[in-house]
Amino acid sequence: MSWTVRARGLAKWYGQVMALNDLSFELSAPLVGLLGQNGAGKSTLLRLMTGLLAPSQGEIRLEGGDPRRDRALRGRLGYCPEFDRFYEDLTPVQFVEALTRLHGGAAEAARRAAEEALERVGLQEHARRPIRVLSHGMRQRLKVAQALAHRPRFLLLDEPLAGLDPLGRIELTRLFREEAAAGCTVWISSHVLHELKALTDTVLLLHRGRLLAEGSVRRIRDLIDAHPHRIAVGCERARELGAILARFEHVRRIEFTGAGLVVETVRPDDCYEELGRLGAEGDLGIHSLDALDDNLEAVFRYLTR
Amino acid sequence: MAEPAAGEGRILDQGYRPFLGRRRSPARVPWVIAAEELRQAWKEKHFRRVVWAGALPLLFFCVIVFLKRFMPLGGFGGDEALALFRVQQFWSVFVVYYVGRNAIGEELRTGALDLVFSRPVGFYAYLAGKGLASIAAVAATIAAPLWCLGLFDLVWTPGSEGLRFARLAGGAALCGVLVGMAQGAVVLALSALAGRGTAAGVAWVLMYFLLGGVAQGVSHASGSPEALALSFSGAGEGLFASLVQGGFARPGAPAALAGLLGWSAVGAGAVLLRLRRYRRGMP
Repeated sequence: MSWTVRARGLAKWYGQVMALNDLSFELSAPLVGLLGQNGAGKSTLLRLMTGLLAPSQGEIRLEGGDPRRDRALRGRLGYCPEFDRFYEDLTPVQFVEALTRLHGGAAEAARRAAEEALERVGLQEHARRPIRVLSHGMRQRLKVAQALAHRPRFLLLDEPLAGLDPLGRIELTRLFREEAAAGCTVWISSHVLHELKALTDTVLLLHRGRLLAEGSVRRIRDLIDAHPHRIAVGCERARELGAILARFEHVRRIEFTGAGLVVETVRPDDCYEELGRLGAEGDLGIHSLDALDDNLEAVFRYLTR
Repeated sequence: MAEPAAGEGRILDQGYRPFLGRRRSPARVPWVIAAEELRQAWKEKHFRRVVWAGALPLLFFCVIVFLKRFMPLGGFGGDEALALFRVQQFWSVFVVYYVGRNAIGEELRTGALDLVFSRPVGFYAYLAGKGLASIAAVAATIAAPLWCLGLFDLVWTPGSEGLRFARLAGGAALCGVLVGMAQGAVVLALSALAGRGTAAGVAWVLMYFLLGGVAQGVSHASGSPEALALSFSGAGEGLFASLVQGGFARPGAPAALAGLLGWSAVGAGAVLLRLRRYRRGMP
């Protein structure tokens, strides 16, 4: 089962700078994307969740526990920070082993766990070279390995895919999905929409320290009534279809494309019904309907503009 | 392991795989941190040289004890022990330099401290581990050669008393720990404040020798030998002389003890102040 994260009136400020402002949410999902532009407060939220920072106001609970005070709870977290500077003279296996031993494992078990984690992130060939000679991508993998080695119940990953080559992204994305499938709750922060899109449908959208939205991207999109919904209609007789659609009150805009048209509507359900009816009649040659706004880009664009 | 289809966002909960290794008590965390700290220091070539070179004075003093049996110089006494203590205490300045200079500053500077505190490591357990490494290194540097010398005297010199050896061994151990506490706390504080290991190390060595000069000056100007306890060397020597030789020693044991505990408190206070962000609300 996924862990529940609950925040109530959570705020964090650094001097005059408000990093997080009055966040309240309750989320329980195997894979959660923490989305926001740089400076939105993603890293601060993750650091509050790991107990590294104390809230200036409000509270945050992981599975009912306070990560700041509950040492056993912290033992079940795996945290991958944003920075990639370590103990440069250590080798990856020594580094991961040293950190894993802090969880109370015996030296031999920690060594085995470290080697296994490095193998999972594809770093086994470089496990005995000093960290200082590793490339940026390898260091990213090392960060993930140290978070995984002690087999955490909850993984908090701060921009884990930043700076990785395409193959590395695919491999780590697969690894995160595997972890989630194995029952580990995984939270991943990113400011790159397509990264999260490939991983999860459940997101937490932050903007300038405020929570903009939480939950499924489609559900969030449905809740944005004020913004028109765009539907791409593939059809053979686009001009005639446009003329029909223009008579509907809920249609705001029609844009013709090479393959048909894109219609903007404020009542998507009614629009789909009409298009379905027209498609069933078969006169206009409607062959496809695509919702263009059920994706992260659209949601984020609407919410932040 | 089944992989969920990305497009569908399907998640297959196959159950959490628990850690199968043996868990140890959280009380072991400081020892794990200390061991790692010493292992890191040992990797430095210069540190290993300092450690090996620190054993040379023991050989010299063993030769003196060896020769004393054949010469009318008197038996093994507190003089040799005090002289060896002085040498070893001087050597411990460089030992603690290598063990402590990077201890906190490097982790603070790089942000690696986050990796430590996101784990089940308490704030005080972390500090205890860092301090333990310095204390162990200094105590071993000071006490081990004195134990060896005392043992050699006990075996070699006719008429040696076990009681005298016990007193020497106990005094050396206690002084080693207290000197290690004071020196370790100050080096950790410098490490935390300076950030860069080399800067912290240089500041430590300068501070050690300058403080020796200042203590001498204050003692001379005020006419009070107790003022020598302001320096690490003066306090250490005073305490050791009081414990091992007994009788008259300057500075006396109370002043020496106050000096060493005072520096320990100053160092610990500075570290706590520097790391207060991590300390708040943390067990």
